[in-house]
Amino acid sequence: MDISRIYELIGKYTEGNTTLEEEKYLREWIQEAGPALPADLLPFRNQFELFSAAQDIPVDIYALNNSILDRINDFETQNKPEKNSNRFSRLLIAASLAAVVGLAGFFLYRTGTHRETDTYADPQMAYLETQKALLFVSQQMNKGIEPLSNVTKINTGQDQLRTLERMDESLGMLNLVSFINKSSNLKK
Amino acid sequence: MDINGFKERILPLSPRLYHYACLLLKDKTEAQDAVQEVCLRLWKIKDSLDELNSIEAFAFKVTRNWCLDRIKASRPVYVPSYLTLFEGKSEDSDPHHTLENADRLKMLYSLLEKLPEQQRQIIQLREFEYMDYEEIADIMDMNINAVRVNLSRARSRLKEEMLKKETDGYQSNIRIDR
Repeated sequence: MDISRIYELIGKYTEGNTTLEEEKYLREWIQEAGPALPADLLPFRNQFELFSAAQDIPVDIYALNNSILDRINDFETQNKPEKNSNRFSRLLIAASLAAVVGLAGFFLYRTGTHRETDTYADPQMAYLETQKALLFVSQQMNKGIEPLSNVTKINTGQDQLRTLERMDESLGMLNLVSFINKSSNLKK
Repeated sequence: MDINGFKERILPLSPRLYHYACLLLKDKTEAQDAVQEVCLRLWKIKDSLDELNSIEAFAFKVTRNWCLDRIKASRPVYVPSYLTLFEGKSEDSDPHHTLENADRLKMLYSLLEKLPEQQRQIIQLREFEYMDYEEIADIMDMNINAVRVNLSRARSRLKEEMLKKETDGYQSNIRIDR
């Protein structure tokens, strides 16, 4: 290639306007130029050699890829989705346990804090107090029954009203008689 | 995307992501953690990866963000000799070549350290990963013109630094096979 073309590419390269193909060509040409390389292009040759050194960082690809796959495998194992039946049965067990614990807690609380306690140590005293309380209740009940005697008076009043009902029936009969009289007058 | 698709499309990116993370974090163990974490994140969104314009650019972007978060959280211990990055299994078993590359990498780092963070990352993506401007813009959250401007400034600065190195005896320090 014409050396002027190389200098043209060097210009483009320095300005950041070369394509990857042009840069590849430039690298190869400069590295293959040997002693014929112009002195002003020597810094580029040294630079390209340094860049190529960066490609030589050793790496055990097999070990690296295995470590990556192991990592992915661990991730997949940890995040494996559970089967629906498993999930359902676990939920069922959890719900049953919660119910048992809840009920047990409820009964324990109830028997623990609301236990009925005796108010009298002496049974005789308790009996007398109970008798007294029942007597009081019966007295109050009698007071409530007394006003009910007035209900019989209401019944008596109702009997008298029944007599009035009979009078109404008799008046109805009289109306019928008067109607017959009217009919006989019309005939005349 | 199932596990086979993941193995075919994402895992081949792992060495490049590792290199990128190594150069950002300057620590092999941290870089390996970064690649594992990034790949796991990609796996978690495997069903939406096909909707991306470039899975590769996205993977680099996630790697970059993860590494920057790590650096912010606790800056990795500075590695005085970049030889540590060359320890371990390598396709190149020639110890002389390994040492030579270590020296080159060390020099490269000393040059890159002179660049602002943004320019250094753009150089890494362009010169080491051979990404196009659109991909770099996407990864860096910049527009393409800004990428070109920063790349141009970085290259000019590197050229100046290389000229200085030459006068300081770069050729005598590193044997270059030609």
